[in-house]
Amino acid sequence: MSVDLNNLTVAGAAKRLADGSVTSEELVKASLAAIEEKNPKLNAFVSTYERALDDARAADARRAGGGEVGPLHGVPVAVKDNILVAGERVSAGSRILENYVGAYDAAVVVRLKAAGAILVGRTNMDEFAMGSSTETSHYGATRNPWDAERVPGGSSGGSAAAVAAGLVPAALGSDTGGSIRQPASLCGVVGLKPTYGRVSRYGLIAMASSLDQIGPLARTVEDAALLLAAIQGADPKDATTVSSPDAFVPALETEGVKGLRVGLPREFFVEGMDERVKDLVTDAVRVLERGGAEIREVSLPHAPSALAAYYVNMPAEASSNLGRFDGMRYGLSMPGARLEETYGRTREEGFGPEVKRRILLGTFVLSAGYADAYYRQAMKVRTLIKRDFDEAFKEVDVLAGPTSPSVAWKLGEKFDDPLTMYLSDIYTISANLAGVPALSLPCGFADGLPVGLQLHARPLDEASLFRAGMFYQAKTDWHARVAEM
Amino acid sequence: MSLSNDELKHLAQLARLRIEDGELDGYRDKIGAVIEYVDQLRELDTRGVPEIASAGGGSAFGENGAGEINAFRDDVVADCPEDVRARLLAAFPRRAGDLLEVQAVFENRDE
Repeated sequence: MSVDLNNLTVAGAAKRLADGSVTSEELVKASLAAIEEKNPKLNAFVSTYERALDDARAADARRAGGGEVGPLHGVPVAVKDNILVAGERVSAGSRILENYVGAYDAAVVVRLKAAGAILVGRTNMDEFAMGSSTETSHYGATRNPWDAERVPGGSSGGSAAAVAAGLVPAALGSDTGGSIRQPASLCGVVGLKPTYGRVSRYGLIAMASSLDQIGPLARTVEDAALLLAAIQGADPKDATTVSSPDAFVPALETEGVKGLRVGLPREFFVEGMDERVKDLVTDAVRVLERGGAEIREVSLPHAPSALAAYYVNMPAEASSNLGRFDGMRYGLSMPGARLEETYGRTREEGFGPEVKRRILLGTFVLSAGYADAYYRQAMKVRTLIKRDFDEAFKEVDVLAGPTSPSVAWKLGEKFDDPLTMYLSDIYTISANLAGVPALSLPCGFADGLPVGLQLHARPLDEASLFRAGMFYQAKTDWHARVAEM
Repeated sequence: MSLSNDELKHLAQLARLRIEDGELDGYRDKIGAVIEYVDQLRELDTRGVPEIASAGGGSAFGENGAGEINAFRDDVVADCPEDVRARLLAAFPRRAGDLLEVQAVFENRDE
C-alpha cells in the first residue's frame, strides 16, 4: 500500500503501526522513496542508512511476534549529522570528518532505538553547527522546501527541511544558539530546545558545551513531546544532565490555557523585525488570550546584550572543543615534516572559513590581555541574562515572541556577511545562555513563507510549552500545511 | 577594537591554523566586525555580578542566577565493547594493526 508521509505525524504513525493498518517496512520504504525523489533538489540528507529497511522488518517481526514494543516502535526518524550512530558515517558537515565512522551510539540514539524508532539517515547541517542557513556545510547547502531558492535556516536545516518536505515525520537536531528553533521557524515545523541538562549530549559532536542541547523537530507539538519523552533523562556519561522526576508528555486532550500567564518581553518586539512577522506573532498571542491566557508585558532588560555575549562565549568554547581535530586520532590527516606542520595543514584543509573564523575569534577572547575584557565579562553578562528570566518567570509562566526576525532569505544573501547572518539568531540566543527550554511552532505565512512563534518556559517546565503549543495547534492549522514541491 | 594582520597571524599560530597571506585581509575584516560588535559588552556595568557557573536545569541554577553544580563519580575502569574498540582503532589515521602511531612532540636537538 502507499503511504502519504506528507500528513503523517509520529503519533499518527505509531497509532497505525499499533492497529496494523501500516507496517514499519511500508513507512520506511515510503520515507526512503521520498528522500530519493526530493533530496536531489533539497539536499536535506547527507546519506541514508543501508540497514534502515532491515531494521524496519525486524521491528515488524517483533511486533508480529508479540514482543514488547516502545512508543516509537517502527517509526522512521532522522538524526542530524553531528550525532553518532555506531558503524555509520558522521561528519558534522565538515570535510575534516568526511570519512569518520561513529564508534558508538550517542545516548539519544540508544534511547531512540530503545523506544523502537528506525533511523533512516543523517541530515545536513552547517559545518560543526556553525551557521544559521545550512550553507557552510562541506556537503553543499540545503534548500527550503517552501522555496528552493531560499535557505532552510540553520544549523539543523537538513532536519527541518526533511520534516517540512515530508521525508520523515520527525528528526533530531542540536541547538547551541537557535539551531533547532530558527530552521523550524523558517521551514514551518515545530522545534524544541529542551532545558540545558534535560537531554544527554554523549555522542554529540560538541560545539559549545555550556550551550549545546539536542532536541526534536516535528510537525506537531505532540510529536515533539513524544520525541523528548524518548530521549530525555539523566545519563552518567553527561555530567550536566539532571535527573527529572516528571515524565511529562501531556495528555492528548489539552487542558487549555485558561489562567496561563503569558509574558511578552518588550525587548523581543523592537525595530528590525519584519512587520509581517510581528503581526503574525501578535495574532498568535491573541489565540492564546481568547483561550483564557492572561497576557502581560514583561521585560528582559539585558536581552539586547545576549547576541554579543553569545559571540564571545560560544567561540571561546568552540575553539577549545575543536582543538581535538589535530589529524592524530581520527579524521583527516595531512602529514607534515613536523608536528606543528601536520596540525596546520590538517586544520587548514579540513575546516571551512566560518569554522576558522570562530576558532580565531574564540582564541582571541581567551587570549592573555583580552580574556578579562571579553570572556569573563560575557560570563557576567550571562548571569544578568539568566537573572532576567528568573525575574520574568516570577510574574508569568511562559514568554512569547518571534523565533526569527524575518522569513527565510535567499541563498547567498547573507553568506559573505557573518555579522548580519548572526543577527538572524537575535531572539533564540537568550534561551541557550539562560539554559531555559524554548519551542518554535508555525504561526502563519508571509508571502508563502513560514513564520514561527517562540515560547520560553522555566527550567524543566517543557510541559507549559507543550500546553500552550498544543492548545494553539488545536485552534489553528498552520502546522498542517504542506510544502508543494 | 580592531585587529591587525600581525595579531591575526599570532592568533592563527595559537590556534594551530594556517592562513594563507592572501586570505589575511578577509579574515581580519570579518573577525574585526564581530569584535567591534561584541565590544558593546564592555560598556555594561557588571560590578559585583558573578560569572555564570552553570546553566544546568532545576535547583542547579541557584537563587541568584549563577548556579553551581559539580558531578562526581568513582574512578572505575569500564569495559569497552569489542566492536566499539575496533571502530575507535580503525579511525586512527596511522596504524599497523593495534599499533597506533602519532607524530613525535619533542624533537632531538642534536640532529
